[in-house]
Amino acid sequence: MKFKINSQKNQIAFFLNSKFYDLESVYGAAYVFLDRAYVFLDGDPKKEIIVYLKGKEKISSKGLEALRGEFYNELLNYLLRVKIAKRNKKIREYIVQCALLSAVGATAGETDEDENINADYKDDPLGIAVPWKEKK
Amino acid sequence: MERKKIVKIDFNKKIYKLKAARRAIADYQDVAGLKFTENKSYFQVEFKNMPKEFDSVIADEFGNYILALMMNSK
Repeated sequence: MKFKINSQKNQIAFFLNSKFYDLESVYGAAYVFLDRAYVFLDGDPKKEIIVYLKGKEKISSKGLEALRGEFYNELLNYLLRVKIAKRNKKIREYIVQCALLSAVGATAGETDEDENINADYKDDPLGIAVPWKEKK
Repeated sequence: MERKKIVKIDFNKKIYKLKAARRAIADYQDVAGLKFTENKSYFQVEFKNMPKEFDSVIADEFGNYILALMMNSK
């Protein structure tokens, strides 16, 4: 895998084949590195993406290569996450839908119950209720 | 007379989202003088009047900030 180190700029540049690494995963991996390095992306997302990692602190050439290695690891991590997210999309939507529907059902149930409670006071199965007017 | 530093960065339109860039420019207005221009494939941000103590990192931080905005807006 080709890469270029610019020690003066404290930067490493490397190329990612878009056939294997989609832009979505590259964004994810880049996001993880934002606190450790300055990340700059270029190239063509349909052919080859160029990643520039510039250390926030001074890093040796070996350190920059290690940073690139870590970026690849993170990239694999994100590739898998994106793949799983795509694969599980329907089941996630189904679970959320069920949760929302049951929540709506529960709320509707509570309302009916409340109405029943309020209606109960009018019932007088033992005949003990005496209207105000009749008492006089 | 000291020359004021000017930094220009070209962001690839296929990679960087214009909406995030515009938001980042608005947020950085108080930090430096920013000028936005664009052509077919790239948009360019020019940084002027940067605080001297941060002039080497402002443009790089700006690039990171756009990426962060893009991820957070998903």
